[in-house]
Amino acid sequence: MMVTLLGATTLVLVILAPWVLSAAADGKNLKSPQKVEVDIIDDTFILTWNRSDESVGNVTFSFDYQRPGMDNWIKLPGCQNITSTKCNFSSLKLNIYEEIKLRIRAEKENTSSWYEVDSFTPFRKAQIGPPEVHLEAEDKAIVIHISPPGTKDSVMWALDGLSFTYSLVIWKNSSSVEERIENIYSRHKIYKLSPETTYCLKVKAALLTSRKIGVYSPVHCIKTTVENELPPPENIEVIVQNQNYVLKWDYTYANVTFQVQWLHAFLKRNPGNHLYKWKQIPDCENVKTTQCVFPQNIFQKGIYLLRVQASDGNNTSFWSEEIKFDTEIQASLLPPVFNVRSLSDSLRISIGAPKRSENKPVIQDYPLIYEILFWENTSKAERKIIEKKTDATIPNLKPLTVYCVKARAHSMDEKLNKSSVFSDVVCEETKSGNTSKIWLIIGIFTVLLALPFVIYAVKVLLRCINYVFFPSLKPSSNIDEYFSEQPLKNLLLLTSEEQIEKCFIIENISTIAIVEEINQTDEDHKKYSSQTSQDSGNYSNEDESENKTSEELQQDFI
Amino acid sequence: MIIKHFFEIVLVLLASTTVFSLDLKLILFQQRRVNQESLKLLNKLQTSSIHLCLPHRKNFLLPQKSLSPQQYQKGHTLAILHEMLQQIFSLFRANISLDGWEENHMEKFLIQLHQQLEYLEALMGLEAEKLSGTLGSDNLRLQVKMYFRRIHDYLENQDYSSCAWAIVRVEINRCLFFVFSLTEKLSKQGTDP
Repeated sequence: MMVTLLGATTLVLVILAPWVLSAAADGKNLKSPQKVEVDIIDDTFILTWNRSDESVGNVTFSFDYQRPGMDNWIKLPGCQNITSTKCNFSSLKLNIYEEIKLRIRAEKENTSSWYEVDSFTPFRKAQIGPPEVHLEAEDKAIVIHISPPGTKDSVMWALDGLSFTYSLVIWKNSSSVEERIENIYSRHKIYKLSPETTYCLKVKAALLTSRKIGVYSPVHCIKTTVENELPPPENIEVIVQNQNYVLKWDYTYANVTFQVQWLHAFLKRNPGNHLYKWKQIPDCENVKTTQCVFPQNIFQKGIYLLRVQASDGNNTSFWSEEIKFDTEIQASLLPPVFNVRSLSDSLRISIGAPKRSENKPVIQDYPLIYEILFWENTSKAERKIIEKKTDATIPNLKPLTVYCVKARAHSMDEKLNKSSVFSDVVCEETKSGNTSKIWLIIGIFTVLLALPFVIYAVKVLLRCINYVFFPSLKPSSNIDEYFSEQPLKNLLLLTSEEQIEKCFIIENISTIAIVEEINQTDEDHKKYSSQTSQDSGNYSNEDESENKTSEELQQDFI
Repeated sequence: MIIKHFFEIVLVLLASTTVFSLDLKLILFQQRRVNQESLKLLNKLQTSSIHLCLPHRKNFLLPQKSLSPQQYQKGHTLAILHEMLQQIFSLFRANISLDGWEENHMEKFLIQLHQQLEYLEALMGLEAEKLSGTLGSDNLRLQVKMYFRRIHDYLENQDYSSCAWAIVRVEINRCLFFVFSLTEKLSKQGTDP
């Protein structure tokens, strides 16, 4: 009875089960989209996805997001109940350096299950948008002002505003020959262009440290002006002379005056700063020569930019190319000071810090390479050594010859291409080869001779030390051979007055025997001790020890 | 045989460390200057104003532990250094509201900082080919950015008040000490890949 009832219920369940399942399936036949893409350009966050089931219409999609460490999911603003397959959630104030998780589901009458999108860090996914470009034309140059991508209160690049570097492509409107310029800052000037020509360019931004490269801006074109009557000065360079900097340049025309301006180099990275103003160098205002001298203490330690302009009263030229000027590099390239020590076949040169005029040594904190030239006093043939350290040895020289040496310093960074002038010439005679060899041989011999003495002295010293500090408390092992019987040993080690007294009682008979034995075998202590023990056997036990000691004393006398 | 080669290898390593360490010594020297300048700026803050600002203190959670180079590659240390200095630079260039004396010293500080950045970038340019494991250094840079994000948010919340700036300057000093210890470790690491 029970069995049939059971059978019936299972049968019913089996029949009903697929029907129930299909009913459930009808409601759950909505599938969540499987492929979601996140696109972030500057501050715009866009999601795109594919519909999982094209046939089903009127489906809306919703997103949730979750921050790390939180358990709950929050509705993503801007991406709720979206009918299309694209949404924008830029309004959400996120911590862009934190990982974020998203999930999506489809909704109709019922809702599909959630599909979790791979988590991502917004900053890492973000792409750099196009920067803003503003151009100014001169006759043979174009000044470019680049604003960083994103808006002024951009969140994505808030901390990277100064880290952007830009690269541009420029071409003449008429031709298709392109020139690329990489790694420039927000304010840049392109020189050596033709006047009255239209140039077009496009700029893209990059964050090299985060390995991001942005998209190009739209193309901007500008026409250069008519050629100016006065060209700008060229080939500007700075050298150090005593306590001053000397700025020199080239100029083709006469009867013009010049003025020089300077700027902090770091402002090129940050032009929006109110400090971005070129300042005059007073000593170089309206100079008539193609050089001007100004004291070093005008500029604190740092990196600066300099530019020169010409004027003939009526017209002024455009500004020259800006040269970069690092006070540390200019200042420290004084000729090195060195002294020479002569050996028989080489010269040892040690280079010291150069001294300024008031005899204060200059701290050489800039890495330098030294070029050392040397020649025989009689000939003119110069040979060169390049040395990175401040101690150099010129090997393979002839002994007893006068050699002359001079040196100069170069900056290690080749890009800077800075060198000092040559130092004064120092001449030194190499020592004779033979004498040095003789001294060497003598030296070796003395060392060899002294060695055994030294070893002996050390041994004695060690023995002394051991004796004083580590006295051996154990009796020497020879004692065991002399006295194999325990009570005797104890007696020897524990001397008492009584025993000593008894020592002086000597039996005549035994002494004669002992003397004989001694004469026979001196070295054979073992044999002797066995014989004495035999002797002592003749006496009573109490007296054994006494006699032993008396024999010992006899020994000593003999 | 091995011993013979061992000595050669040791010699080569020693030689290369001396050559490369010249550049690193320069960076170390310059960092000392930067830190000195920052300290000078800070010391000029009146003690009375510091007392007033004590209630505004905030822990910005400088990620010292996670950024300490224990088993880091040299490239990572450079990346952290560069990011920190760049962030300090961009933090202070906006600080315009200073009186004449402070502006002068702020300028000096920025100049030193900028020089250091240039030297670091030159070094990173040299190291560009040897840098490996970009993922590692990206994560570290993000941590530095998050730290400075907290500082910027704090300044914004406090409306860039003078107290807020004082607190930030103290924090930057702490940061610079950490940067200095990183620079020292970097110069000791030498040519470790």
